[in-house]
Amino acid sequence: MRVTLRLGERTVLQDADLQLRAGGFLALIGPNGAGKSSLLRCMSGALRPQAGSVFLGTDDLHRQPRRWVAAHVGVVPQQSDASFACSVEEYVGMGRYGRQRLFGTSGRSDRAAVGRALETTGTTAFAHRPIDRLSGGEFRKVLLAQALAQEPDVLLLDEPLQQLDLRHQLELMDVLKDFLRSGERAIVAVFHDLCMAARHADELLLLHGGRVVAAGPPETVLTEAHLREVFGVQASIRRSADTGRLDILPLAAVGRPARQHITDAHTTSPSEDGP
Amino acid sequence: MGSEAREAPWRSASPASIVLAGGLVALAAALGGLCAGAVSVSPAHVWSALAGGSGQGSASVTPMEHNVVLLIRLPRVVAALCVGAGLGVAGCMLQALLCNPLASPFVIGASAAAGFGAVSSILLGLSYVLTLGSSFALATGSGFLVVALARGGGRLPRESLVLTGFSVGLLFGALTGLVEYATTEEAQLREMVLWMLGGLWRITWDPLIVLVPGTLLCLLAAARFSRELDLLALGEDDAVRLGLDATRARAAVLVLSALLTALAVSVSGVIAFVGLVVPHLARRFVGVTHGRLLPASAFLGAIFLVIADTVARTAFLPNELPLGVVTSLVGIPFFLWVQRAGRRGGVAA
Repeated sequence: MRVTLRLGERTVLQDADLQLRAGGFLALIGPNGAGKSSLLRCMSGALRPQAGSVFLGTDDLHRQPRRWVAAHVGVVPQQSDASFACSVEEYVGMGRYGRQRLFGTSGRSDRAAVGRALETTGTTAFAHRPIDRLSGGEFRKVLLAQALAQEPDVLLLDEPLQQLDLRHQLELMDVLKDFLRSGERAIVAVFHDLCMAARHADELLLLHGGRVVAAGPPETVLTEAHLREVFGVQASIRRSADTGRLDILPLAAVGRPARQHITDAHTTSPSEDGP
Repeated sequence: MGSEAREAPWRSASPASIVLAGGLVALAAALGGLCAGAVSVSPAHVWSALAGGSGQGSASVTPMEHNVVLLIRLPRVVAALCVGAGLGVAGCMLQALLCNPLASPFVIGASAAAGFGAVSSILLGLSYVLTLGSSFALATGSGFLVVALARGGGRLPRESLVLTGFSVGLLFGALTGLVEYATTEEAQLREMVLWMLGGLWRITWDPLIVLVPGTLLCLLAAARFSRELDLLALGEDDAVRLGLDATRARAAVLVLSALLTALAVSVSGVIAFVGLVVPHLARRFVGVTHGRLLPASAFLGAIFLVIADTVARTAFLPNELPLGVVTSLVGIPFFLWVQRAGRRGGVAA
């Protein structure tokens, strides 16, 4: 896919080009306003690009009926408001709409899919609770369950780790890894946390001002130069002995000295602020 | 969880059982309506009159009772059932469509348009049937008008629907006021006022030929949209990402709501609060999923209106209260009490 998207006057995305391979986990990273969420929404069919198209296999996503898209692409949004609170089970069940035929009432396969989705995300315990009685973290898991109930080929997640405590963050990443196990599905997720992105994704796409600055495995994308130019941050990038993946430690905003005393070669003594 | 038991006691009931239970209660309410009135008729006599049909009643049923039941009360009760069911379901659909628990058939302007049709017809001295017809036509037409005006860029946004519906309603309300102002005949003016307050006192069998099958068809059509309504109630972004063609669904739901409102209001006049209150009450019993909520709203609306009509007829004999007044006076305190009694559950803030 290669898309250009304009929202009003602004060019939100310019020639954003990316390929998603089966079994792949792509992380979209970049500073605020870089266009990550917009790119995700182009990929889900929610936003229509002014130029370019999004293909799933050989099908142009934006030409397909919405039901088809919902059966193939599952989206876990950052937030969701429902004006009437149904139960968790009913809410997850709505994910089956894309696969149900006219006059479709919930059949056995629908119930099974919902049950699997609840179990995978660890939400079976509160399946009957109204969705307005969930904590932020619990609701995020329910959103994931709803997307999984769609039985999609591609899962798109917008900042999936938000509001989750450490344990649930790890559990969620496990669920995502399981999702890819068959090797025929793919995940694209927007991350603010570069460490998590580096740790779990095979490929990263770095966006800045609507353009793709770098794409590829974490090693090529997460360099000190990129972090300095794009994020305006001076960081230390090490390979973690525990995970074997890159670990990113932000040290200071570029142009301002570090306030804290850092005990190694990057020591700077605490000094007054610049002007 | 203990708190869940307090919510929606019948949230797991099947739609079929809701229809059965609702039907039985509605029948009981209808029977009550047929018995009560200026001439009190015992249930046994009511049954004889109904069973006897157009032929001879059984020996114990007087001709007067026979006529009262079949020619005066039965049309009223049937009309009340249809109007109540129609408004209840229309309100339910609109609350999902607009993602707003305060939505009702008034919000889309259909009632106001019906009112304008009726008062214009009265001013022109047209017959009862033509009055019904014009109010129905204008109410339905306003539904299409709102959809056409609210459409923009191939989409039908909620906010646009609300604003357009509201404006159309205000417009027709103003035109109605103009017609009432222009009326010089006392009798006509009184008739207009009574129409706007709502009532079934003039009902005969003729309008029911359209009302009953029309309402039933629309209710069935509404049931077909149960899943779509569930998704619409989630809001635009979520409905679309889950696979709903929101524009088409919204247009269909709006037109269907306008039709139901038109059918109801053309026969009964402007009746407030049924469309607003009944869905909330239904939610408290069966939860928010529309597969159950729609039938529950239909039956609750029907039962509520039959009882309200019976009260309107019998509370201050020999005078009759306007139905719209009764629904407000009875409906609002009842609604407030139900809201207080069960603060939680159902509607998210």
